[in-house]
Amino acid sequence: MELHYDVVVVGAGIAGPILSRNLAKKGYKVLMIDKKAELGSPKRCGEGLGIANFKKYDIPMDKRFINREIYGAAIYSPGGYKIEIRYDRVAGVILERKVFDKMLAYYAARAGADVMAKTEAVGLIRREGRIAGVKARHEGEPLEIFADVIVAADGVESRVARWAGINSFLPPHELDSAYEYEMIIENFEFDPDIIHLYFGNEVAPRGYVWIFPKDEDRANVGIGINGDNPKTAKYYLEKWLKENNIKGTKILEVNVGGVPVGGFLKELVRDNVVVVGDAARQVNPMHGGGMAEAMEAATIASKWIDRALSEENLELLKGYTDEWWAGEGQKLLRILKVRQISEKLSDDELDAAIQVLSGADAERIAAGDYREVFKALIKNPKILLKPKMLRLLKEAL
Amino acid sequence: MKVKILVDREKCYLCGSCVAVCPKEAIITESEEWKFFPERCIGCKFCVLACPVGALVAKEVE
Repeated sequence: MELHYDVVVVGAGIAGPILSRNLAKKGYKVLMIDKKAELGSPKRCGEGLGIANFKKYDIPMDKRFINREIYGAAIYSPGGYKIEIRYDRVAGVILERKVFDKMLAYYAARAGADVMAKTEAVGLIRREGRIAGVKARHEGEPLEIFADVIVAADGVESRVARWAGINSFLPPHELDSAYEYEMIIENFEFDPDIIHLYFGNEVAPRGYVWIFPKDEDRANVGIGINGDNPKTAKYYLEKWLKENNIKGTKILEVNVGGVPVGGFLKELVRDNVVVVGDAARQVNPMHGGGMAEAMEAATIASKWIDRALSEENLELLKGYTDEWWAGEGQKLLRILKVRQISEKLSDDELDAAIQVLSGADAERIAAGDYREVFKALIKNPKILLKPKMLRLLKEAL
Repeated sequence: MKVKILVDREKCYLCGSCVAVCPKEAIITESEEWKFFPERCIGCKFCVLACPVGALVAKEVE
């Protein structure tokens, strides 16, 4: 079967549906395909999203995909020191991704986009040396989808970008290998109104263990570790649960995934192929969250696709690359530098850092008032003598 | 050293971590299938390291 669209979007995670919705609203003929039979499932996500993103990206706060409102975060050092940030107002939510992704696709469809689940891209169509569309397959039936613009929103395992000639190889050190249970937590104290992050070189090398509460006793409990670690993410999560006497006997879901935490694609556009989201490695390399970045990328990319199509000049697509790298991309590079230093901290140094910051007003630090950090440091001058800590502070501030 | 990457299909979630870290596109994950292309493999074993559950092993071949 042969189909014709202005834009074909491969992947219906976060970036794909936002971009499809934005372009459908502008009147373009858009088709979004996804290899999953059920959009949003299986998920590879801790499901935490900051509250500001709903308004910023025009997403309704539909109760059907919001499990729980979150008021802050607690960060634990390996030696047991803790920073707690708590707000009076809702700071974020724990989503139900399998509903959220499907609803985002629904919003795209309602705006006029066509959506086809269980439809897998298998290659590009080339005509006279140009990329003319995507070859796909639905239940074994071959499809030829012709389009002026092809969007690679096909996740960490993206193939579309590579087909177009963009090298999206991710070195294993720049991948977080992640494993997560959605489970009932018994006999373990945790405040279900905030998220909990546990750091330590023995706890989670390079990464952290998270508890993202979905109910008072139910949570996503997961881990991310450096992807070049000889041990597995599953090994470290099981170890942490055991050491904390948390029984894994009420497990509702097992989630597994790789998170790009570096290796950002410099080249986001090649000819008429545009890469967004995890496929472009657009993830915060400190905490591994990628939903907000995917939404931002989709917003910028859809703006430039609109301009390129309306002015009939595909060269304008490169405006997306430039705008991303002038703003959000630069921010992520700075965060990557902080991570590259912080990942080298010993457990003692992690303890010291969190001890210092726990003496400060964490809420003011989170709000960007770094005078609190200096006030705390004056009380703990030893920390300043460590060159790694100084570099970390310099990069972070 | 030429290697063959073997998958334990019972353990594999098709999460795509191995695909992302493969420099040569020697592995792909389709909606229901993990596929290995031995002629493209350079034996770096990045995929084995990156797998969150230890579903992959590298077997040395002549």
